[in-house]
Amino acid sequence: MQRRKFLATFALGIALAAVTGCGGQTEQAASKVIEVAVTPASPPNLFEENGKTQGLDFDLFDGYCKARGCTMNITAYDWQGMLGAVVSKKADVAFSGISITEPRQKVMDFSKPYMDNSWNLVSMKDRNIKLDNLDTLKNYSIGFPRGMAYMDFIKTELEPKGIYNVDQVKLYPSYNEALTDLQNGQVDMVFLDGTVASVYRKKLPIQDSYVWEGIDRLGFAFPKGSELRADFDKYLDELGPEKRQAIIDKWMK
Amino acid sequence: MTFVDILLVLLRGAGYTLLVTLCCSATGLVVGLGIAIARELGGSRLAWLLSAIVYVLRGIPMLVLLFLVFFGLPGIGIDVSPLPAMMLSLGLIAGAYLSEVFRGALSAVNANEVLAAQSMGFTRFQTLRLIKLPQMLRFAVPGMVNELTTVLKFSPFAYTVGIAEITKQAMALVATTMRGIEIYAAIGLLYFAIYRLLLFGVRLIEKHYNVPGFAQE
Repeated sequence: MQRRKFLATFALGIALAAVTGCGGQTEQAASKVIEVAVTPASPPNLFEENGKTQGLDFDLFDGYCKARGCTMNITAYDWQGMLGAVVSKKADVAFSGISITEPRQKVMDFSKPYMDNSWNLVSMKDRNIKLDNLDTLKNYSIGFPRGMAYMDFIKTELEPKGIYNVDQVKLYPSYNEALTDLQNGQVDMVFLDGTVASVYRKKLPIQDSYVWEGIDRLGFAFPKGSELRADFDKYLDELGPEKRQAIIDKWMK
Repeated sequence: MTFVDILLVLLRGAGYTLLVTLCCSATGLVVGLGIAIARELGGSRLAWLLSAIVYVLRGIPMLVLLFLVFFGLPGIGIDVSPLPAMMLSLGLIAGAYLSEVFRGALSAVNANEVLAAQSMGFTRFQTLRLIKLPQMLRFAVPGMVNELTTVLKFSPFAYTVGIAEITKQAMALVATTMRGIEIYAAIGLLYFAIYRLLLFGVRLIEKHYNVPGFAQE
C-alpha cells in the first residue's frame, strides 16, 4: 500500500515536527529576574560585540542590578518590537538610547533622563562646512532616515521661521544609506544624534557643521505603573551625577 | 573582519531562521491540509466559514497579525511565547495560502477516478483518503515549495518578537562595523543556501514517493 504509507509518513512527519521542534520556550524560574528588552543596533548606548551585549545603558542597568541583587534576562528585539515588549509588559524595562517623547510617555513610563543627547548636522571634513548660524542652512541639502524626529523638528521649528524647507530633505531607509550618499557627495549634510555621531566619527572622516543641544533626553522605558521605575530612579540618585557622567564619558570618548 | 568572519557571525542566527521556517511551515501544512479536508468533507456552511477565515488570513499583513498575537493577546490574559506567536501568525497565514494550493490540486484529480470509487461503494472519506489525497499531494508539490520559500523569507519577522535569527545578527553587526553592503550580501548568500537545503529535502521526499508516469508531463 504505497499510497497509504505515503499519507501515514506525511502525517507523522508533520506531527513530529510540530511536537518535537516547536515546543514553547522554557520558563526561567528564579526570583528577581528582570526581563530586559534591547535593540543591539544602537552604539554606544547598546550594541553587541562578539555576541556579548554591552554599552552605556547596559553599564548603568548592570550597576543597578549589582546594587539590588537582581539578574537580567536580556532579549534582543528590533526597535518596534522592543517598544512593544514594554507596552505589553512582556519586558520589565527597555533601554537602547530611547528618547523621551510625548507620544511614548502616553503608553510607557520613563525613568529620569540619564543623559542629554545633542542633534548634530554632520558633513564630510574635506567640504569644510561650518555654520555659525542658520542663515545659510537652506543652501545645503540635508539627509536622514525616515521616521526620525528630525522631520517634526524641521516642520515645526525651522520651516515657520523660513530657515529650512521640508521639501529640501532627502530621506533614506537607515543611517547606512544616508552616510553612503554623504560620502558620494549626493547630499551635503546628514542629521545624526550625538551618541550615533560619536561612533561614526571614529569610522568616517566627518565633522559637525552645526549642533543643537538640549532638545533630546534619553530615558529607561518601563511599563505603565511599574514599581521598578521608582527604585531605578532612586538608584540613579544614589549613583549621583559624577559617577553617572563617568560612565557616559567612558563610552562617548 | 573578513567576509568569512561576517558569514560566521551570521551563521549563529541560521539555526533560529531554520527553526522558525520549519515550525511555521509545519503549522502551515497542518492547517492548510485541515482546511482542504474540511472543505471536502464538511457541509456548505463549514466551507463558507473556512473561506471567510482564509479570506481574512490572506488579507492581513504579517506584521499586524504578529503584533496582535504577541503583544495583543497578553492584554486579555493569554501569554504567548515568541515561537508559538510566529506559528500563530506566519504559520496560519501560510496555512491559508496552502489551503488554496491544495484546493487547486484537488480539482486536478481525475473526476472519473472519483466516479469509479463511488461506484465501487467507497464512502466520501475513503474516496478522499485513498483516491484524492495521495494524488493531490503530488500535484501540490510546486505550489507547496513556493509557499515554503515565502515562509523562509518572512522569517526575519521573528526578530520583532525577540528571536535571534539571521537578520538580528546582521543588524547588530552593521551597527558596529558599518559594512552594510558586505553584510547584506552575506545574508543573501545564507538565505539562498537555506533555500537550496529545503529544496533538496523536498526533492528527496518527492523522489521517494514518486509513482512512475504520474504527474510528470
